[in-house]
Amino acid sequence: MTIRKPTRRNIPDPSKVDIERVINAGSPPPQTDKQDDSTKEVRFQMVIPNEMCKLIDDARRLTKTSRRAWLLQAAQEKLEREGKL
Amino acid sequence: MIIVVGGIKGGAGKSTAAANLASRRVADGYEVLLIDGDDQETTTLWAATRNDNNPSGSEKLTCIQLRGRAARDEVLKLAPLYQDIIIDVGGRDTTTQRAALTIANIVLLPIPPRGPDIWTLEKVAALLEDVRTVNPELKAWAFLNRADASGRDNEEAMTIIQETPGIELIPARLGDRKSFPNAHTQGLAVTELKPRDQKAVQELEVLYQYCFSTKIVPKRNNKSTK
Repeated sequence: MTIRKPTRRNIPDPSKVDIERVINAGSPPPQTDKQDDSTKEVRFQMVIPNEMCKLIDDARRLTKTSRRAWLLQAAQEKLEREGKL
Repeated sequence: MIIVVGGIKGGAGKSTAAANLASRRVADGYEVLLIDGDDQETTTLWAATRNDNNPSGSEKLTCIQLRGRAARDEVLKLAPLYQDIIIDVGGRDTTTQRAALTIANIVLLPIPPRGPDIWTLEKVAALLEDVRTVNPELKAWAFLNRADASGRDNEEAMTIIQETPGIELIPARLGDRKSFPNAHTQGLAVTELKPRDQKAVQELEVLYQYCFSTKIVPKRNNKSTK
């Protein structure tokens, strides 16, 4: 009895044209190069100690601002003091 | 191995599944490239949070963004540098998803057992049929994501998936558990979350083992859930 090793089906490599056709049938990514980056925002998460958060909350109540606005103003003031803004 | 976590419906849990699989693979000592191909950049944000909160867990995990046909061309160049590549694509039929699928070994389809998600299966099948003209070896594995703890929706969804040509329903499933989004927002995998959600960890483990064939999935996991 002969035991033959199964051979893989001879599948030709897909042509570049076929690959292009398949890819281009999808919707393209949004154009970002024309956007104005001057007002672009950076988003990130921030974890702060509970005690510091309480101090911030106490401080911002005086000015009736949100946490975000208070922290942003604090950062701006620090950068101004250091002459970087 | 190149795995695309795909589908054409947003909010199905692609980014969460991709991040969890990548983290779990890294935990086994593999060098993994995680590619964010989604305009929403959820995976990029997850990776940035991970770098901040869990730098040691990011050592063998590299995350980059690729869009459009770069999801094929650049991945082909990067593939020799990594043991595994996991690509998270957006929830639409985009050039990014198609480009990634032309070179993928597996497309993993997270399917919540909800009408709007199930209704996209026909379109996904058509997309895969088109892609297989240039990548005939592509495996398409669907699994229930955010599966219900009770009710009949799971079974109905499974039946529809099984009836969809070109898509195989795999025995893994992830339940609708808060620990998945909780871990994700902290840049973690569910296996790294404290306190530990043992059921979620087990579910991810079954999916992970199935995808990477490192162990045969226990038979009990083949059972459909209630």
